[in-house]
Amino acid sequence: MPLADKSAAWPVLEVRGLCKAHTQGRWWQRQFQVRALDNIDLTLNVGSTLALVGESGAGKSTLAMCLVGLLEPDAGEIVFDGRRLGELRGEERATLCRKIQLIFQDSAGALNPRMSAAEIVEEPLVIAGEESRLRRQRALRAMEQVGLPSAWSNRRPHELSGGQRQRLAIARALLLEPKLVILDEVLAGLDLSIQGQISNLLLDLQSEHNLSYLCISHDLAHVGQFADEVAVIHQGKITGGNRAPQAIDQPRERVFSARAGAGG
Amino acid sequence: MRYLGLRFLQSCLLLMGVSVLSFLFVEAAPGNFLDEVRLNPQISSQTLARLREQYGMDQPLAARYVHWLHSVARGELGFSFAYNSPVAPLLLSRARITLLLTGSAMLISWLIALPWGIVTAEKRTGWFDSGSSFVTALLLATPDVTLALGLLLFAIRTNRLPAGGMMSLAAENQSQWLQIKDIAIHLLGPLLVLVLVSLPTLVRHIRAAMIDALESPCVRAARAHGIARSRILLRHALPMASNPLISLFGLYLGSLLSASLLVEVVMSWPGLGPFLLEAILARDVYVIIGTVMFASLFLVGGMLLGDVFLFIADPRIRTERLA
Amino acid sequence: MPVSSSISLERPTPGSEREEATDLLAVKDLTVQYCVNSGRFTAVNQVSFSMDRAEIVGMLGESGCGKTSTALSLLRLLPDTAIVTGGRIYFRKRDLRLLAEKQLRELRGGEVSIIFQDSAALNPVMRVGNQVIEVLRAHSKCTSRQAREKLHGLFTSIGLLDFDRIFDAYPHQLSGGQRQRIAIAQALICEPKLVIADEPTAHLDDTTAAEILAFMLKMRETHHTSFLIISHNPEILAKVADRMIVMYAGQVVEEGSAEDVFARPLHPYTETLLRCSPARGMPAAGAGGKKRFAFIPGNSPNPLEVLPGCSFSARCADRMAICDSRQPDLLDQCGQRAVRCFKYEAQ
Repeated sequence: MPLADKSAAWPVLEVRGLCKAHTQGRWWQRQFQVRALDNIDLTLNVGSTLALVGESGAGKSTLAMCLVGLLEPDAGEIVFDGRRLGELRGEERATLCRKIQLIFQDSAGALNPRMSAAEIVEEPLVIAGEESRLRRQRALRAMEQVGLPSAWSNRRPHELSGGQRQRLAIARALLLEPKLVILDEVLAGLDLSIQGQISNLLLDLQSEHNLSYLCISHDLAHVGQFADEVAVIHQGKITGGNRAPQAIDQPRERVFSARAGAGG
Repeated sequence: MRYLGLRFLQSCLLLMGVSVLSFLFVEAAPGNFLDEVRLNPQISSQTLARLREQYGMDQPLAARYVHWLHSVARGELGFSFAYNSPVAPLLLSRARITLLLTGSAMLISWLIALPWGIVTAEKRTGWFDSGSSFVTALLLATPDVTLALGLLLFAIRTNRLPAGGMMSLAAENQSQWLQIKDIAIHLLGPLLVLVLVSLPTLVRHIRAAMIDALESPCVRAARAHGIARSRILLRHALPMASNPLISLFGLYLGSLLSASLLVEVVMSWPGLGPFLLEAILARDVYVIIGTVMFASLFLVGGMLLGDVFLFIADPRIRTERLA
Repeated sequence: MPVSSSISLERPTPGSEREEATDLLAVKDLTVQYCVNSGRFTAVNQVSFSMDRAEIVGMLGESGCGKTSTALSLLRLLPDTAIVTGGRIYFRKRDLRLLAEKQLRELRGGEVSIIFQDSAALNPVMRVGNQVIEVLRAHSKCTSRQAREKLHGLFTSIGLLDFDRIFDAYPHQLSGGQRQRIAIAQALICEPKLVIADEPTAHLDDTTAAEILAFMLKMRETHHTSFLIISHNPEILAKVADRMIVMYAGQVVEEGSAEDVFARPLHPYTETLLRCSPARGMPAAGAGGKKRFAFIPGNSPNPLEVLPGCSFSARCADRMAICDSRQPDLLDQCGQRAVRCFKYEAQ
């Protein structure tokens, strides 16, 4: 696929006014609300990478789960590929949601230890109802794409290193040909050299398949090089909108600039 | 809280299901109570027909079930043909005797198994562990009937233990204390069998759960902080290991009425075991159903209680996670 | 490759040991092996280093290079499959390998403590306040009131506010940053002389990591505590370490003051590793203007396959013929700088 012309950018994902609250407290005490997401506005253009940075507990993972459909937001809307997710139901929604994939941080926890590598990768196709011979071929091809030799198709996750497991998770995410991939701290815990290799792999895949990335991370140095734009989330609110990575330089910066036309 | 309420509701539904099933099964079994009577040539067919009507055997199954439910609501649990009395008082008096046996067996086996399991988990290599492993495997492989028969043999040969029953005739008129001693001596045999039967499972579970806990990173961290080994065992490893053990405890609680039936029959301990066997042989349907229901009640209640204990003991279930 | 003339390094002559200016920790030729099904492999291969009072030493290396095994072996906390097959460990002039278990237990947590990564350190069914007090009680006699007060002071200085709530909380009710601070509190409550921190900021966001590192610097100032910080991320060590030890495949491959090692890395591994860090700038864009991240080519060495030459040679850009023939020795420059590489061997 030809490289998308960045000047003709259009948003593949738009989030408007997203809210999500949790309740906390013991059952005999007064419950209090924790606003995990408070009026979130986000825009992600096709083929580009938006990084979401913030402290732990600021709401990044909650946002990822709402986007993928694992959590229902309390308010606000998510517009993906021009369609409002909240309005779709059933089969239509499932088909559209397949185009959003999520890759987690803890690969050892995210992969079923009793399944072989090939089985893990082809599982999304099993769920989508593909035929078995075809699935295995596609799974092996996906493994090759991420740099895992198909000879390893019978290895279990514990026989692979951390970096190799992340590659497996990436191969699995690619199988359904997503448009948007959410990377939730995928490089955490990996050695620097492996981080570099996986980052390069992700960049290659992005240009090859015209993927858009929402990269959740707290590694500002890496994000500064990897992402095209950065949004800072603090206590459930986005502060300052999308900015160029160079504008975020210190961990302690708290620049609040009102974004035109929106609260937060 | 909602979680416990749901479980309670589920348990009630389960019990209803059990009652229906037991009714159906008992009906499906060939023969009924009056078959014996019918064999007797001196009883005329009119008497037979009258008896049938009296006992409600000619009514359809559903009607009988409803009548039985009414009886349960009244607290009678049906009517025993053989004893000519409501089932409930018979059941309760026998159940008390069974509970005496199983309750003490459970207490003693847990008291022995806990330290045994903890010590073998701590000293994982060496002769104590291998020896214990061998002994538990041996006990596990031996059926409880064999153990019971073996003990009976020992009792008869050596005359040290009574060979059955709960009290000796001579004890009828003696003082309270002597009566208790008498019962205790009679209890020893079946108690020993039950304890030996349940020990291996318990010890292995405890050992496995403790090993899991001892190999966890937080125990290593506790060692790194210089905390004494005994404290690590009891205040760190055991609480972490107790999740599966509490569930097991609930299961044991639940099987208080059902675990000993076979042993009771073999060793003539006058509890629910012989009572149920008699009723089955005589097709005394309501006794059978009543006993099964009572035992199921215990089972379900025991597991529910286990869940409640788990809820109290494990803070991760009890409290909310940070958002 | 021409040997850099500005650095003169000699092989240590047998008998002359590194200057023992240290009275805190001295590790000499430590060797640790692990027993696995297919045999034995050496995880730590004749590692020597020393630490001074009030000094922060950073240990850098990729996962599997032996840094954690080295740290655990100091307090005899290795798993049962590991054996210390050689070397000496001196803490304040006492040989730790000769101590009985009981004496070692007094040392652990009291004079030398370890900070593990947070999720590993805390007991999930015990309140965190009790877990910290327990460490204090294991090493000194004090009433629970005194203990609680001491804890309050410590919590405040680490940055754990809301004392009452946190004291009674269970680990799963706290955030990752708070849990890590509790692990630090456990390590520091008895005011040890040496603290070993194994990846202390691994899963923390930058703000919390910065706070924790700042706190370590403060402890160094006020209590003269020494820290041995183990990490695979050089940026963390660049912020706080006085001296650096770089490990690869179970051996020390470079050592020196942090400033020196980061400004002029000598060993090819250190050099390529530092280039992988995005904070130090990226390599020039590849063909087509695409961004490229730097990485070290090749794979980590398999500890079960021991090659005759230098363990890094397969991935080294400056590889020479001699690199595959035998292992290089650790070359020393008056105890200030050391490197294990044939590039610097005087012919």
